[in-house]
Amino acid sequence: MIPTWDTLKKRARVLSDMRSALAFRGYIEVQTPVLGRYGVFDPHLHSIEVSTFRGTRYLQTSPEYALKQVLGRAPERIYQIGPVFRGNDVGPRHQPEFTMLEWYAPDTSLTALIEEFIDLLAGLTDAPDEWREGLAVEHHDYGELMQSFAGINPHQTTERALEAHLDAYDVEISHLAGPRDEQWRSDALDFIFSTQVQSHLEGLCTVSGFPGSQAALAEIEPTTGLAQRTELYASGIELMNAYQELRDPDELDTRWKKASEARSRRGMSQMALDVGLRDAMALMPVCAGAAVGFDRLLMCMLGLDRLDEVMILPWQDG
Amino acid sequence: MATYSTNEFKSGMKVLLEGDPCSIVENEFVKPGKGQAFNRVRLKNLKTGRVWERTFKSGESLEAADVMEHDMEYVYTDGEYWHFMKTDGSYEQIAADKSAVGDAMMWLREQGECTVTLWNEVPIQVVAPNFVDLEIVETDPGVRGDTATGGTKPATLTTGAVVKVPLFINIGEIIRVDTRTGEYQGRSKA
Repeated sequence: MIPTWDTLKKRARVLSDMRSALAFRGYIEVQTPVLGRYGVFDPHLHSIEVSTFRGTRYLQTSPEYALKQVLGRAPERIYQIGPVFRGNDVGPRHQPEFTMLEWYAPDTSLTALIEEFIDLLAGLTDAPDEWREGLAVEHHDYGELMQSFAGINPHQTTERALEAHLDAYDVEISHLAGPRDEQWRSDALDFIFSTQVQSHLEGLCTVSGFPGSQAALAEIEPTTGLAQRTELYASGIELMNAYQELRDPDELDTRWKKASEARSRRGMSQMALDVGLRDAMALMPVCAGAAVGFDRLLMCMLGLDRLDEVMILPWQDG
Repeated sequence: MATYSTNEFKSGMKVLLEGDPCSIVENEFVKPGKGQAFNRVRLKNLKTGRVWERTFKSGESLEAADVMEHDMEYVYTDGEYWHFMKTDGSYEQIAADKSAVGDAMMWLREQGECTVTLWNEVPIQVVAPNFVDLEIVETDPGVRGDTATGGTKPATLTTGAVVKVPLFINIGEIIRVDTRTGEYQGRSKA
């Protein structure tokens, strides 16, 4: 399946505009390998295994681990645009291989990084009118959204309350079976957010205030326990994840251990911790970073519905 | 028996769920931002007819159900079983019980074609063709020339089914019925 030539030309133009805009803001492009020695330890990201003459390697789910090693060596504004891979399945908004735009800005706050990106988007030739300058972007609080649209306080709700909430769905939910650990709680909340809140997010908006259990590699704010993580949505479609990046190797160890236990409880294979990432974390500058699904971004900009409308020879749906 | 993983699910696929043979009607892969990926599947229980939606963990497997659909001809009934014969040249006959025949009972005609669903070689469902031609055995007489009033009257067919027909239709006439709606379509073209 090949997108229309008009779409391919627009894709090229957005890419070119994006590079100019990033260069203008002092970002230097780097390229890191797609095949790495380590997979990602997140229980819900599937690293595709490749067998090589030196044993098993993993297709990278994002350039994060490698880019942070660059930051450990050069505390500079860097970005990468390239293919990433996530095993699982194919859907209208999901492809096992897609293009990720990821960037890091030392000595830039999370808020400033997001403002900068929204400003960047507004300047793109192909940006829809709704994204242009002068339009206010709404900043939502995760807890408030969950309360408004799902009637749940995610920071205080109990496991039993969550189970009752899930039971009330029209659909029989069986994919959230399994051990009731912190991972389960996070998964249940995420399911509720994606099914009851997301579709209500209008226009370009951000969501912050996620629980610490959903911090991934972001810092956790010590007084609130909330993740220093912000997501950008366009008409209910998740486009970007941005973090105040974690810089504590011991905390990384703790998170890796928790994730490994969650993986083990679910009968998943263990993923060794990337030692290069760990070493680099101690050397990284204070920085904010973000990752955007470039194909999804393009899809939204062009007013299209499916990823395969903007990708050449995508995987086919079922 | 073979198993199917969620990323192999296709509409029409027959799987075993809690011991019952089910058909996958619709399947959609969903990956929430941070959580467990799942497939949202609409299923039909082929034994009970129940249709419902359910999520499955992405990567989960289900056993394939040995369910086959066959074109068969209705032969006769002994009151307890309804007998059908395969039309593939094998002349193989199977006996379906009342629950398997279900609503199709209203539309069975000798040598009439039906689709019979077999699970482990046992009939669990009979579906009549979309249109059948059946003879009227009972109805009030029509008023001669009354073709324009648009009124209807009930007519009983050989099978016992009652269908609303135009007033000018009489006993002995063979009419075509849409078995999905039970509606009169016209006089039989046969």
